Amino acid sequence: MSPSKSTVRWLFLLAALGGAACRSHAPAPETDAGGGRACGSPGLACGVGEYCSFTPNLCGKGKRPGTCRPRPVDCHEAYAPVCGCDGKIAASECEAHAAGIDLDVTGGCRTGVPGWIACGPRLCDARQSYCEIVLSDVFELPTDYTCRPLPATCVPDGDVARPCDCFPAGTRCGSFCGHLPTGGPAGGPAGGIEGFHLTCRL
Amino acid sequence: MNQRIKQAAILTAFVGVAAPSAQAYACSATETQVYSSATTAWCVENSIVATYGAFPTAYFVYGDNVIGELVSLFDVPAQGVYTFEVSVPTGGAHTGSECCGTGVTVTGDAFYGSAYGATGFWGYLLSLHETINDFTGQVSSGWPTDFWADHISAFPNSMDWHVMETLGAKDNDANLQAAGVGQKARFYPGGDSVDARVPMFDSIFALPNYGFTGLSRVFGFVKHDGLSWDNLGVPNPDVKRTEYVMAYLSLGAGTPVTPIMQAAHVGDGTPDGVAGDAPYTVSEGNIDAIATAHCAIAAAGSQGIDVTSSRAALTSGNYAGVTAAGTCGAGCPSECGCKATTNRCVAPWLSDTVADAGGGGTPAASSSAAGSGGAGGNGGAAGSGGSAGGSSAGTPAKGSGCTCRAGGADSEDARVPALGALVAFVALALSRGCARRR
Repeated sequence: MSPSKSTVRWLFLLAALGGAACRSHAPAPETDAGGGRACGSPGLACGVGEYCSFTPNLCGKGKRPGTCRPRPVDCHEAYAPVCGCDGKIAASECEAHAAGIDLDVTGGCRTGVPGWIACGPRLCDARQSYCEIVLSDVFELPTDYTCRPLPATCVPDGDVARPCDCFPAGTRCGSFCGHLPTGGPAGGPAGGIEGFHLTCRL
Repeated sequence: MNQRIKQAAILTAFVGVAAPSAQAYACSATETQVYSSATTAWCVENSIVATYGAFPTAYFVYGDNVIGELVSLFDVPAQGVYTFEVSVPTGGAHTGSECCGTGVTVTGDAFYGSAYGATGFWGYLLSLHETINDFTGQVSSGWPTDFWADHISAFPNSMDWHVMETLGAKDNDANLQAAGVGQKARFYPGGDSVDARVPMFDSIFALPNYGFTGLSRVFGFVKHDGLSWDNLGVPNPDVKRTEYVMAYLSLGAGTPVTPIMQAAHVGDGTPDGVAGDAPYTVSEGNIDAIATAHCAIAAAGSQGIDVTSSRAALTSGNYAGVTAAGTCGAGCPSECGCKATTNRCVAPWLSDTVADAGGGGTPAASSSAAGSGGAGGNGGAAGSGGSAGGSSAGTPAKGSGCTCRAGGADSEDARVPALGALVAFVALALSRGCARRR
């Protein structure tokens, strides 16, 4: 037996009304354990003056939701470029958050900064530091990226990068050393020099 | 010829040699797919080939073999084509691919050069390592951070060399075998990353009837019981979390592995060296109770007893609250044993009889043991491991329980009111959901 067309119509109307009722009330953001409101999934946006902070900094690609945090108002940090979830480089972590952008731990920014090497969510000054990478071995836990001071033996000679054996024996993570490109065109101001990554798992 | 054209020409030449059958795939715009099979695809950033040279083809069969080995080891089905994404030099590696979803991303420079006596050592290691992370995470989250993983990486470090060695031998690849030897040597005395917990896992791996098959059984038990270590209600690390893991590792062996682990100072009261981690000492009695809870639930479920509350207790960390009590005989799974004096299905090392357990076996045990049968600790049932008496709490057999009628004009009519009811239900649920939010 088939129901009448009008019955079916009424049922669909009922469903539509249910859906419309829901849409007419924006869902109140859930609250995380730390008191901040959850964000990062459809329907869970932060308010004006907030940004969505993810832990780890997976820009919403992980399983955990983000948390709304207030955007900083005054940023007075020294220039310390970072890679944001929007794929763009900001002058500092504070500047990124002030613009409503969280950091990208995978360092997805494809345009670099002359003289700086990408180091996870941050960039390191290739003339003064190298990127130490301790790889995570847990699914969805981030790798540790740290800018560490270059030993004197590894400071570039003009625009010429040193070979990896410039690091003293026993340097942490020294068994996998590689060069990292800096942003900017070769021959440009500070562009073209290379930095180092030292990578390991502990 | 400008640099870009030069790079494109070089790339075309190399890729043409490396993978003449390469097909279009969803690599990103700056990458080239250099290999694809039913199992894996490799997307290589164009600048890598231009800078470092042809992408070594040896990794292709390696990647296929890694996935095959890990699918079997972790008893996790492959989720479509697994992508190995070779990125611009970043020095890093992580699970997930930027271009194509399931897979891993590895810094491009890892695939060139030599280390530890093997060409491309870091390429082999990092791609394998991240894939192991991926698969381990699919079994459970929250593995103990003081001896399993998370910067004290004993389990993946051990697995890395075992997998390299196994696949190297399988393909008669001396370089890959050398990589396995190099990876192992790092953690043994004289190596650059000495860690007694790697030999600890190696010792467990070397137990009779263990190896990949034993580990596969363990992961099967964990998944079949619905365990996720993060649901135990304790921090990480914690004594109870470790006791659970020890219990399941022991079930895979048919004998307690606690002495092997305590010899490496896991759970023996020795600090793990990480600030904030409190030392602890595991209890053999607790480990016995957890393993027996697994056996009791599996047997009782197979014997028609409702084990819902007992399973909930076990998975929430309240193993003492498991009330299900399966008996010996049919339904007592092959990884367990029989305590004849009480007629209870128990951890095999608590058994007081030789030929005791029933021929049932949990579905997990039977599906993952790769034909080796039981854990080797319970006598007569070893090798039977069939699924006939599988736990009732397991996934229903395909096709069972479906009372749907075959399609046809009548079934079409029957679906309309059913659809209407579903729509009404959804509407009601939406309304109630909205009301709750408000």
